[in-house]
Amino acid sequence: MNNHLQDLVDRCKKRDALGQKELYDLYKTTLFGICRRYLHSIEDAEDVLTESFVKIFTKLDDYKGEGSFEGWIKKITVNEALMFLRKHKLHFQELDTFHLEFGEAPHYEDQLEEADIMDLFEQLPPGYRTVLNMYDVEGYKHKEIADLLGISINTSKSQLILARRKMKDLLEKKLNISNGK
Amino acid sequence: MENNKQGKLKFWADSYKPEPDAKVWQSIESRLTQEPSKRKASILTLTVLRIAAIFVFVLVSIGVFNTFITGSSNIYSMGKTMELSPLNLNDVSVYFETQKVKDLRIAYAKLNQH
Repeated sequence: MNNHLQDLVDRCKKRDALGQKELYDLYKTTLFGICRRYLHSIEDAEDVLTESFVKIFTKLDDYKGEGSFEGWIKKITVNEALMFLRKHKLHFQELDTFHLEFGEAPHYEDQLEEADIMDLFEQLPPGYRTVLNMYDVEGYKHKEIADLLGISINTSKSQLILARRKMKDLLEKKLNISNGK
Repeated sequence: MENNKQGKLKFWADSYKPEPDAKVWQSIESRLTQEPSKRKASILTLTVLRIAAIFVFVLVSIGVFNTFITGSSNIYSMGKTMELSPLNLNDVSVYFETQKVKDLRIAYAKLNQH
């Protein structure tokens, strides 16, 4: 952790309001990006962002400097988003993975803008979106996803397969439209 | 290859940084000002409950102590006023051991001395 960040964290531990605002300004967009990836509505994402920052500021004494600070606050935000989804009964379509082929991760074309990918994410059903986020972006294993979401490993696998398929279809459609086909 | 493609998604996710509404900070700020007062209130409640528990404990202890003292002094005063009727061994018509009767007499005499 660099000196400035360490100083900022120390100020926040002492409940310094200006320090808290500075830390919020430093990470608000990063953490809001996580919230938006997991949650469909902007209002829900803002609620989760609020909860995450309140937790970060109140649990700051628990951060002992082991691992990166950004990693620690990102983990809190992902957990808050998952808690929100579990509270709101995130639905997972149970499928038999035996007949499903894993397939490749979709090829995200270079010409796609950030907003385009977010637009595709928003079209995914919540179950697909959550597992795709956790596996392909956050790097969780299926066992960890299953434990965190309270689902079976097979359900986690099937959600990922279906999410990738759906993403691939959506990408192709998007590219066809933008190429004028 | 797949890692590369997944890496692209990860890169997008890392660079995706939308701006939240200004009201988010306001609600965080108000939550943070509520937190210490909530904590103060819970500490106060806990202190009051502790004091009440100590008070009740002291009251109960005094009550128990009083009952014990009064009870034992009653027994003592009863013992003081107690008198035994004269021992008449002639009424005992059955066979008995002399030594035991002697012990009984001594005990009887000691009791009557009080």
